Amino acid sequence: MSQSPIQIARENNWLAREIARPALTSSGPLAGMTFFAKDLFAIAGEVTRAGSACFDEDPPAIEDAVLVRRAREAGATLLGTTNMDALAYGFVTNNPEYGRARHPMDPRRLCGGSSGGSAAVVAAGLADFALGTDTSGSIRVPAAFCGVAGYKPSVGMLENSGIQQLSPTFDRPGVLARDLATLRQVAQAIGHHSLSETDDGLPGNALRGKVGLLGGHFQRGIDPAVEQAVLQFSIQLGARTGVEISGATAARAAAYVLVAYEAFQVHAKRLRESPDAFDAETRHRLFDSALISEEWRANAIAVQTDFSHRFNMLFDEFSFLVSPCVPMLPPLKSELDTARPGQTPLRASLGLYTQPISLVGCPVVSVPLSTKAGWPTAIQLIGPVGSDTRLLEYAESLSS
Amino acid sequence: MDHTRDPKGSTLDTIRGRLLEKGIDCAPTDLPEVARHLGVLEDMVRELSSDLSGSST
Repeated sequence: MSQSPIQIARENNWLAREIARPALTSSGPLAGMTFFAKDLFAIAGEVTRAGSACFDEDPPAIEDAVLVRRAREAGATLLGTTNMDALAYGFVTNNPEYGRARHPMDPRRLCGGSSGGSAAVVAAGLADFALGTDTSGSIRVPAAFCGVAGYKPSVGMLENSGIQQLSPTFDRPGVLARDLATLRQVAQAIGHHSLSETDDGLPGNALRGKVGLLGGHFQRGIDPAVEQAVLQFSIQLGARTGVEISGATAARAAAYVLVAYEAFQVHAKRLRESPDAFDAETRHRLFDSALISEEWRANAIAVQTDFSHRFNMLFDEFSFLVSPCVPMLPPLKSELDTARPGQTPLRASLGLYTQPISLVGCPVVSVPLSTKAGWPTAIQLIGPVGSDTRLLEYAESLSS
Repeated sequence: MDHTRDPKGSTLDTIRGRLLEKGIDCAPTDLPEVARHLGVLEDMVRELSSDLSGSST
């Protein structure tokens, strides 16, 4: 007898909890689809755990998170919640309670995170789509490692009500789907009404020369197999290569500092009252975040202002920008913290390319690619803030 | 880099004192790992001023 999606998800540490909820209609735009939600989305009657025992004494949610409700109202059935880094504070999905999410192609490898369970269940075909969140790359990194499509919206395009926060300024709820057409379909069904409009943009070949491939920082430390896949795809797009923007390394650092600062603010009360309710690694990182000075924060905001201004100016010349999502192939767990001589541990590079884009707030579609050897990777297709409708439309056109 | 020291070159005791000022009573057993993570944060703070000059091309 074949295994159920829940059984498969549980065996591979992709499942947080089995919380099934039926579709609220049989005729909506997502009728017949199934989905999972990251463990930080509120589900009526359940405690919102966000992968951490620190919330276990909280009361159950009164109602579903808006996006969960809209998905059910559109005809989709919720199967369960998915594994994630505790509090969404990581890129690995190695949860102290739910275990390490195994890569769908090779269980020794990592799914990425923090929405790793959501990416893996979609990659394994256990559901049509999954809901996740992306603060610094938490949809894009696992989408790239697992080979699924991902969408991180502009602020306001997908409602964030009913989602446990990590960093209110940078948190974005989003979607992971088996392909780019499904990604757009789900975004239209649960998102801002403008996503359902048809843009009068110019998809396909008409955009040749209006897409730019970011260089410099966005090629730093890249695996040759990833670089080749990204370059080959960019050439097919007619993208102009070598578009450089200075300050991306500082922008990445600013994103790190500002998210850490806000993460402490969000969790400070619990951290002071019951620090042992947090797992050790998360507790240690949040303690450090408490030590971020106002001067450091001010410096990070200055970098954000400067970088965002100059990054947005690139859209005067380009309709979209592209870059790799991640510099490496799905890593082995043993590779994560062990650096080769003269190299940085892989853990420190997981968000290298996604964090600067988060700092600006651009919408991004993670477009899955494959290396010559068949490993999944992805590009970030980046649009100006508010260009989500056109971005999703263009991304879908790339499927063909 | 010596990640047992904070950005001001302080010791574990100093880190504990700074956390106490924030209302956080950090267990002594946590301090070495807190210091290690603080080193990563310190690297990021240093990178804030790493490549600010120049403009897009």
